Amino acid sequence: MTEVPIRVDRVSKRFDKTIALDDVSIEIHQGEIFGLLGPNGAGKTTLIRTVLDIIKPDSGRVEIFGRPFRPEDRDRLGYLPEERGLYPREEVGAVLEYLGCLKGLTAATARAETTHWLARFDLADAAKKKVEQLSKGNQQKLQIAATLLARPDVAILDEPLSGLDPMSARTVNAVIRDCAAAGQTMVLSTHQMGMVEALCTRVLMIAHGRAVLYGSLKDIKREHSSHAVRVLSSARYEACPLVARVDRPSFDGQAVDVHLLETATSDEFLAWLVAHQATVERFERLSTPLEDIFVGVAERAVGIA
Amino acid sequence: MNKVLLIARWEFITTVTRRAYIFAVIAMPLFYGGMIALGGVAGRSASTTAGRIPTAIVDRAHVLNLAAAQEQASRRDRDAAADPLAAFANPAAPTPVVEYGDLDTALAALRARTVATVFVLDADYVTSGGLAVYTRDASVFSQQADRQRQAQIVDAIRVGLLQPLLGRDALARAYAPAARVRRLRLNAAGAAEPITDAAGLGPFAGSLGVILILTMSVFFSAGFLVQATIEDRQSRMIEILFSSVDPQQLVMGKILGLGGAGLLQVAIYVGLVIVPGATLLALFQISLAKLALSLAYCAIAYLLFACLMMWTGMIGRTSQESAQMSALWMLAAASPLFFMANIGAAPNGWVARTLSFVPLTSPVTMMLRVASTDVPAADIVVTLVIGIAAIYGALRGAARIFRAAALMYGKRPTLPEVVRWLRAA
Repeated sequence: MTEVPIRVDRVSKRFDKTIALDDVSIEIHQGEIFGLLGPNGAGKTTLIRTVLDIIKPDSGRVEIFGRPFRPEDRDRLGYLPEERGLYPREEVGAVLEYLGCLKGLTAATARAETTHWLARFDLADAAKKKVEQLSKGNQQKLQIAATLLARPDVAILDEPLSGLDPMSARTVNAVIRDCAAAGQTMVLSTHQMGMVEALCTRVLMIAHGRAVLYGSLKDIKREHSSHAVRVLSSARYEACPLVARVDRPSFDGQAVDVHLLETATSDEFLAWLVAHQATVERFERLSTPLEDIFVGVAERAVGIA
Repeated sequence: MNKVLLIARWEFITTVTRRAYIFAVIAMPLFYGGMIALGGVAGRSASTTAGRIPTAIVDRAHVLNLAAAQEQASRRDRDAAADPLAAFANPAAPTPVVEYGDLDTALAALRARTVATVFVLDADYVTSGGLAVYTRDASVFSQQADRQRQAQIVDAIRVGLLQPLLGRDALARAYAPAARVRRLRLNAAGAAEPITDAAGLGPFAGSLGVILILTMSVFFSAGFLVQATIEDRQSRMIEILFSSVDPQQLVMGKILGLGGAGLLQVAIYVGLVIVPGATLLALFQISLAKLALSLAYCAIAYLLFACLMMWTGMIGRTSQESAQMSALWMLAAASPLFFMANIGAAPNGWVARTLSFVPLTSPVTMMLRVASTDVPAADIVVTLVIGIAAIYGALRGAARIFRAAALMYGKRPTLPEVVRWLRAA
């Protein structure tokens, strides 16, 4: 499969006076774990629903598997919506088999996949139970199983870890990694930055319907890293014209955090250390946590809006 | 399997296996059937007991001949047996009449409850018409029985007065002038043909029964639809389903599955409580062509109102609100029944035809017309086309509203929003 699973090209969508999506463009590649970030009400769900053809964009183009959406594409797309539930009074196994058949599986395959996924999520003994008899966390795992049951080429998971204990969260993370390794494209819409940092290779951040961050997570983190390095050396940092401030954290031996001027780079600072014949035992760029990047970008977007 | 059929099967199975459905289908008709049977037996017993209590008469005018009156009543009943209308008249069995010589003895019998009513003909009855009636009970519920007793006495007085004046046959005609009625109607070719039970009144009554059964199935199924739609919203399943099927498939699947559940419920009701369908058909000799046409209009009614019910299921915030709104559709569907007398009297008249061409009233009106007479083929074709077009429009509207309203969790769309969605459909 060489086609791009999801391509969104300059899509806009407005609800009355609210702009839900404003000229958003992204490409999501096969086998990647893609993070969709943004504050509440930013337009993430609208973007997902547009991709899934649940709502139509006002302008722009959405391509699924290299062409406009076709009804049969639904069988290749898995979706775990944020507002989700399962038939509470029905048996777990029956519900999964039904949803599998709706995705185009034969009854026999749906039954086999149901058995497989229930076991994968430690719910093998729950097949004959009513959905409402399961705990909230187990219902959540069941919903993820329902999304992945038909092994869709693209799975879009909106807040997949909500309501899960750490053990279950670890299981879900492992499942997501395995699916991506098998060539499935995984799109995660989440506020859990730890999950994004652990799993995603690329991200899109939306704020007020606009794409405010898009690209490789590594590049974004580098781009938004603070102008600070943690250094253990013989140099006198105060003498360096590139340094704005020096902090001495008490917990990290003799290393110090050197904050550089906005105009300076860590490479220039390293070159200065070498030029001044300092003995450098440790030199580490201090990266900004994704959460801080998220908050900073979101606040700037609010300011702009 | 086709996704529509998959959804239909799921909806059907999950509905018919619910305890509430099983209770409604099995236990309720058994309970109500039992109560009706008990009430019928008790009522019949009470009626029989009351019917056995004689009527007393004190004939101060000396005009009565009770034996002759009894003979005339028997002759009238024999003659009337051939009249199809008489089969529906169901006259009450006559009560015994006992003549008393004086009022005091008759009133003593009334006090002792050995007679139910005392009629007293005044001595100058022939000139004055004076007649007194004594009874123990003057409630609303006893008036019907009193009227029947009075009619019986009046018939006896008529025989007594006329017997000396008329011959045997003239007396019989005066006693029951319309006992031997031949009823005819003009058929489609304009020729007169006799109305028998099988060709006239029976089929109408039978078709009316079928209409009621079919209408019941429409309302039961529509009720399931509203309930299922609300449950899907509450359980937040709709968006998950939308990722697998398009809204039209979802709407059609639900309509078929829940329609089947409603039809099964009615079939079981008919089988359990009313009478097996085959007996009903045989009893009233319903024309199979008319039955097929009625079924076609029933299917149109169901599909049309099912789509409309889904609108209300999606628009209401709660099940109560949706049920209240869906009552409007129920009222619209059943509104031709308010014109039943008019439609029955002139099945091809302007009222009937106008109602036939309005999509909401068309199916039930046409079922009534088909039951009443031979409807012109053009009317049948036009109403079927109108029905199918209305279903198509309602289905598209339902799918559109379903898609749009389903994603508005906890919010009720405004009327302008609904209108906008419908226009976009």
